[in-house]
Amino acid sequence: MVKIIIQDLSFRYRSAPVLQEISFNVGRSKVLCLLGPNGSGKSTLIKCINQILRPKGRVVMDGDEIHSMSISDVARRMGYVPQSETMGMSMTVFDAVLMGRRVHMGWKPASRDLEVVDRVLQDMKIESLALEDIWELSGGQRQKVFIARALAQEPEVLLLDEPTSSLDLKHQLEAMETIRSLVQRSGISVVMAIHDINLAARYADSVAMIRKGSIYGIGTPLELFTPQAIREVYGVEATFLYDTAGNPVIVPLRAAEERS
Amino acid sequence: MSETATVKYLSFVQRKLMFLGITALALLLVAGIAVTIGSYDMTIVDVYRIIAQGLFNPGNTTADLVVWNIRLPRILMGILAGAGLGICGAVLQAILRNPLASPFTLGITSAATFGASLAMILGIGIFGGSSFVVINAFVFTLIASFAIYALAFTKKFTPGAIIMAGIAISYLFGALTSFLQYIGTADALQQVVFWAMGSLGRANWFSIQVVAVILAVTLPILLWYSMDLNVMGSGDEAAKSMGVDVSRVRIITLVLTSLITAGIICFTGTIGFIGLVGPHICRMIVGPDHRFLLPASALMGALILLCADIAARTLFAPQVIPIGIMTSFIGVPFFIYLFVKRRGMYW
Repeated sequence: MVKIIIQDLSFRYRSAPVLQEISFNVGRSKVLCLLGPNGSGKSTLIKCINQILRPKGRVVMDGDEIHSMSISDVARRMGYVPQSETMGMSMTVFDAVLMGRRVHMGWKPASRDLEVVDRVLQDMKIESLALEDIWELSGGQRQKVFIARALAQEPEVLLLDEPTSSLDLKHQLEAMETIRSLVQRSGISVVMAIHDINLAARYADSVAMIRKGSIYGIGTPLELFTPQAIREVYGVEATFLYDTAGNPVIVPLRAAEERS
Repeated sequence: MSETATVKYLSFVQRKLMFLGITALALLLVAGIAVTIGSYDMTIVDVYRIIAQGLFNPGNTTADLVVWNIRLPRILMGILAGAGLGICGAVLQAILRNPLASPFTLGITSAATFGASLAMILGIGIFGGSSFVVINAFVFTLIASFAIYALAFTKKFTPGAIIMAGIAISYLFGALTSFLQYIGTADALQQVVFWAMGSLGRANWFSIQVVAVILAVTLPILLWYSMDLNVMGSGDEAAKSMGVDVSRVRIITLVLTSLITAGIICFTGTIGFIGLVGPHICRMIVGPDHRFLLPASALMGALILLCADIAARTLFAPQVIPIGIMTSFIGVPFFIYLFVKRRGMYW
């Protein structure tokens, strides 16, 4: 069942086109990973989906046009975790996650708001850090706080921009397992920009490869990941192995030779 | 009930509320002490009794007249000005995501000094009459504010654009004031310098009513935006994703803080430091949640200003030191003490 339809999405920064006529669908309770080299437009695409940027084209969620909704209405239905957050004021983990309730609560949090914060802290296994300062946590713990904050919005769709970029191997796997189990448990859909092609192969239901602002291809990892696709999108020669579950494991070998 | 994250958080909130209560009591006490100071001797109990009686049945004794006509206006203006400047600093630091932001960062106070200088040196005023220094200061503060909004509008009200516009406007009005001082007479120059150092001595019941009305209208709106100010600390993109119309909140809060600052400094002259340090002291104690930080900054701003005023009137009595000098002398050591003592970071 389709959750979001993205249709002919185009965006330009001043005169430079960044995204050109991007179209794809995201299924309900599915994880879609956006892949592509640096500067291909993955992060811009994420920000166009939830109205942080104003693109041309349509984003439709369950029949509702996102771009005709107010910022608050979008925030009630979509959570977003940015790639990085500039260091700001000192703040406890609980306060940071409570900010996710801003679209639901009044001036004072109701008991339901506090319950939701408590629950997502437990889901992300960071309840013991509730009164810690977010800027004194490790990168992995802080990333969990930002994901928890987005989950506190109780979104139907979660947009993640490079959620594993600052994490070590163990925390990368933990983060992806957490996201995967949230999708299964709460039925949310996830759109995630990610650099690690092997994490995408293992955890995504579908992947969209982006090259120079356009969709190169969309499909399951097994369908889409081929030596030719890796060469054409990343400019890298790669060899493929397969894990015990049949997921492709891509081993990059060298930069591909430039073709005229 | 088990020690869940919520239970821990609620106990943390209790501590913040306790700090607000203690600060409010301290302010009440310091205000009472401040009213006792002067050539006419009275105790703090006399002060509270005279104020309580005067609210319902104004008396005509010398003590009544000293309290109600001479001392109370000064003290109330100190409370209102300190509270207003403290809250403005907290709001500006939040929307500009800059720990150095205060009403002075935006340059609007240099516009007030220019407006006052224009009246005092050249005798040029927007309106004539006895209040034309005040009205000039108020009007030029608003003119500077709108110039900043116009410049920042071209860059979509980003924090950097607002600060740059504020610095440009500050230098412009600073240069204009210097030019006026260069061509002014020695007497006029002395008047300008004295005005710029700030004073609560010019307060009267009219100025208190004006400032009180401005604060009564603006502070509830700023408090209403507390949660949005919290969210904006995460950056504009994250704040938008949490449902905050960042540009709208920034414009509304800028307009309100400009109005508060203009309303205060046109009567008191420039009183620095409170808007910068009041919020920082409170942020170290109650944290960055603006639902608590704004009232705490208001109380702390009022408390620092009253303490500074007491020191200004007593240290070299009967000579009164300008309040703008004393706020720095009183606040800086306290600020440095907290800054050094506090573990970890707070901004």
